[in-house]
Amino acid sequence: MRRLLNPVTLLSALVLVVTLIAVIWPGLLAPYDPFDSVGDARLEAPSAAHLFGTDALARDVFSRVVYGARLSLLAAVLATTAGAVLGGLVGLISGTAGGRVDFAIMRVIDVMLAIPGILLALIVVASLGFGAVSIAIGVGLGATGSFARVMRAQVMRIRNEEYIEAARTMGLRRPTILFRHVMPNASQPIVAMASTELALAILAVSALSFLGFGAQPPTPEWGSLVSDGRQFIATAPWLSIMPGSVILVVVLAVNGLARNLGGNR
Amino acid sequence: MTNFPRPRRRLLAAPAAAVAAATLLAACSGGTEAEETTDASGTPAAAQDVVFALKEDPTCLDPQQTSMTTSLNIGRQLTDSLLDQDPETGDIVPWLATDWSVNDDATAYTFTLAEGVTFSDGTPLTSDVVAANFDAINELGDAASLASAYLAGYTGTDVTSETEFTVSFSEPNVQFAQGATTMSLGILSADSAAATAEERCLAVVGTGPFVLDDYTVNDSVTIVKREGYDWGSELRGHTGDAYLDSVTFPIITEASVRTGGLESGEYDLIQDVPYIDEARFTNDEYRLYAAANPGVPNSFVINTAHGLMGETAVRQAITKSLDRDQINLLTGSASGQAPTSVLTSSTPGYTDLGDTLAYDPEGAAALLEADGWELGADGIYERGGETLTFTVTAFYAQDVLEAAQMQLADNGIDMQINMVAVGDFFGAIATGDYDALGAGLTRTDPDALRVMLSAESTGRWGIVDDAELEALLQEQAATVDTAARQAIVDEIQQIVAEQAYVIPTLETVQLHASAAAVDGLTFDSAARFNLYDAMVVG
Repeated sequence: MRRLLNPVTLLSALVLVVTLIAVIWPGLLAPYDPFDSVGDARLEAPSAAHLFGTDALARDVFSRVVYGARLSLLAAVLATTAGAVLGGLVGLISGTAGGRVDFAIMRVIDVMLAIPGILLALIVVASLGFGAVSIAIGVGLGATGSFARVMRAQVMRIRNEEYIEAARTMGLRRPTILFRHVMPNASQPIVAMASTELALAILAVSALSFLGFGAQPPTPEWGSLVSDGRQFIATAPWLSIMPGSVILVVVLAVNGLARNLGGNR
Repeated sequence: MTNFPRPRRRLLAAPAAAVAAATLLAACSGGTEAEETTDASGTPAAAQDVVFALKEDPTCLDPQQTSMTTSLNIGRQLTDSLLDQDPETGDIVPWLATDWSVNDDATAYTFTLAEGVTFSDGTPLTSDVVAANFDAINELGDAASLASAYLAGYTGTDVTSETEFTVSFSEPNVQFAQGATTMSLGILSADSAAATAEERCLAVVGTGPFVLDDYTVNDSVTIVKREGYDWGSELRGHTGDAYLDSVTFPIITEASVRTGGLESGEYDLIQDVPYIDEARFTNDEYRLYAAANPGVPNSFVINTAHGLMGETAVRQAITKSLDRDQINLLTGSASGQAPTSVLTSSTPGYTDLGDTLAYDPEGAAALLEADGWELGADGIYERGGETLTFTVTAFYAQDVLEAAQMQLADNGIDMQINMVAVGDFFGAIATGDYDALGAGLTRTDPDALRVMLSAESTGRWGIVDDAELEALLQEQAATVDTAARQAIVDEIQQIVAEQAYVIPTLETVQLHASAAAVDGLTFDSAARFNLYDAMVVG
C-alpha cells in the first residue's frame, strides 16, 4: 500500500491512464479533427483554444498528438512484447541446452548486442519497408539480445535448483520441466525488464518515426510530429517542443511506474 | 527539368551527418567574415570569398547529365552556353556564339563562335569541341535526359570551319534555341566530353567564370575564379573576371541550420529558405531572392490508365474541389500566387485559365452526382460500393499535398499520399504504377507540356490517351512562327486544364537569402542563379 501512495507512482499512473484513454478513445480527449484545419489560424502559439498551438496547415497540434498516441504506443508495446517473447525463448533454449548450442547462440547474441539497437532497427526497417509494424519489429529485434541474456542467466540458476532435480527424478519430460517449472520462475525478471524496456521502446519508435520511417502523412505519430515541426523551429518552436514534451512525460511515467512497482523488490 | 524546390524533409540518416558537417565547415569558414573590411558601399570589399549553403548534395556536377536544380546551379558557374536568354523579355542573345541563324522549318541551326575563348585547361573553344559535346550528349541519351530533350531529333553537327558549324535535326525543333541557353547544353572541354559519364559527374572543365576546385561528396563543393575570363554575354553586369575569388558550397540539408547559419554569419548565402522564414529575412540585414519557377507548376500529373483516373468527371471534380488560393496561402511563398493555368504565370506562352481552375465545389458535386456517385456515411463519395479515392505519389512538397488532401476530403474525395524516396518516384514512373504524381517541371518554354504529356517523350509523366492533344503537342514543337505557335499553345493549355490531365496545386517560388553585404546575385529565366556579377560589398 505504501508503495502505491508514493507521489511519483501516483503521478505516473495518472499520466498513463490519460495516455491509455488517448490510445483507446482519442475522440474523448481531442477537441478538434486531427486531419482538418481549424479555419485560417495557422502557426498560432499555444492558447486556451489550442493547448499546443496550431501547425502550418492550421491543424490543432494537441489533437494530432492525442491521435498520434495510438500508433506510437502500440508500436512500442508490440516491440517490447516481441523482444521479450523472442529473447525469452532464445534465452530459455540457450540456458537449458548448455554446451555447444549455448555457446553458439550466445555468440550470436554477443554480435547483436555489439550493434546499437537503433542501428539494428534502422537496418530492419530499411529492408522491410516503412510503417509502424516494421518499426515495431526492428525495435523489438534490437531489444532481443538483452532479454535473451537475462533469461539465460535465470534459467542457468534455476536448472540446478532442487525442485528441478526432483521433477527430473519423477520422470517428467524435458519440455514439461522447461515450460511448467523453469519458465514461470525465470520470467519474473523478464517482466520487470520489459516495463523499463517499454520506455526505451517508446523513445526508439519515436526516433525512427522522426527519421521518416513511420506512417504516410497525414497520419500523426509522435516522432513525425516533432520532425514536421523542425523546419519551423525558429518561428514556431512549440510545434516540436509540445510533442517532444509529451514523449518525455510518457517515458518518465512508464519508467517511474516500472521502478516503483517492479524494480525495488 | 525536374524541379526540387523543397526536398522531402524526412531524409533518412542524412540530417545528423549534415549537422555534423555543418559544424565542421562552419569552423573552417570562420575566417572569411573577419577579412571583409572595406566599407565603401557598392564597391568590392577586400576579401571576395563567400560561403553559400546548399540544401542537398549535387550528386553529379556535370550540367549536361544532371536534372537536379542544385547541380544545375553549380554547373552554370562552371560552363557557358552558346546563347543566353534575357529573363525579363525571354529574348535570345549571343554568348559563346556571336551569331546564329535557323532555317525556315527549324531543322538546322547555324552558329558562329566567338574568337579567343578558352577552356580552363587551356584548350581553345572550336566547332569540333561543340560537335563533340552534342555527339556525347546524344550518346548519353537518357542519362542526360534534359540535354537530350533539347537535342530531340539530333542528327549531327556539321563543322564548316574552326568557328562555324550547323546543328541538324531530323524534324523541326523550335525549342532548341532556348535549350542552347541552358547549362544543360553548357559547353565542356574536349577531354570532359570524351570522359565517361561517371568521371564527368565528379569533375568537369568548362569555359565558365569559375573553375571547380574541390568536390567532396555529401560535404562541400568549392569553386574559384577563372583568371582571364572575358566572354560573358551582354546580359551580364560587367566584363572581365568574376568579382568573387572563391565560393564554398557546404551541403547543409537541414533548413533550420541554413537559416541559423545565415543569421550567425557562418554563411553568406543560403539556398532554399522555407517560406515560413520569409519574414525573418525581410529586413535591412539580409537580401531575399524570390524567383518563381517557370514551366508546369507543382501539380497532380495524372495517369489516365490507372484506377479511377480514366474517368473525366472524377478528374474534373478533383480540379474543381481545390481552392488554390488557400493552398498558396497555407503552403506558398508570400510573393507567390496561385496557379491559373497548367503553365506558371512566368512561363512564355502562359494563358490565364483562372476561370477553368476556379474553386467550384458545387460544380464538382454536380459532375460526380451526374456520374452516379453518392455521398457515403463517412462523407466520401461512393458508387456501387466503390469509394472515390486516388493516390498521389511524390517525393517533396508534402505540405502542399496535405493541404490539397484536406480540401478534397471536405468535398467528398479521398486522396491518399504516398511519400517516397527520389529513386522510388522515378521507379514508379518507369513501371507506370501510379494514379497521379505530385511534381512540377521547370522549363522556360511551353514545350514543358510536351515533355510531360507526349506519348513520344522520354520524360513522359502524364499518361494520356488523347490524339487531338498529342497532335497539338507535336505541332507546337514544329511551329516556327511565334503567333501561330502561341495559338496552339493556348489550345493545349485549355485542353489539359479542362480535361484535368494536369491538376495544378501551387506555383513554386524558389527562395534564397543572403547577407546584405552580398550584392549582384542574378537569376536566369529558369530561376537559376548566376554568381558572375556577385560581390561582397562593405
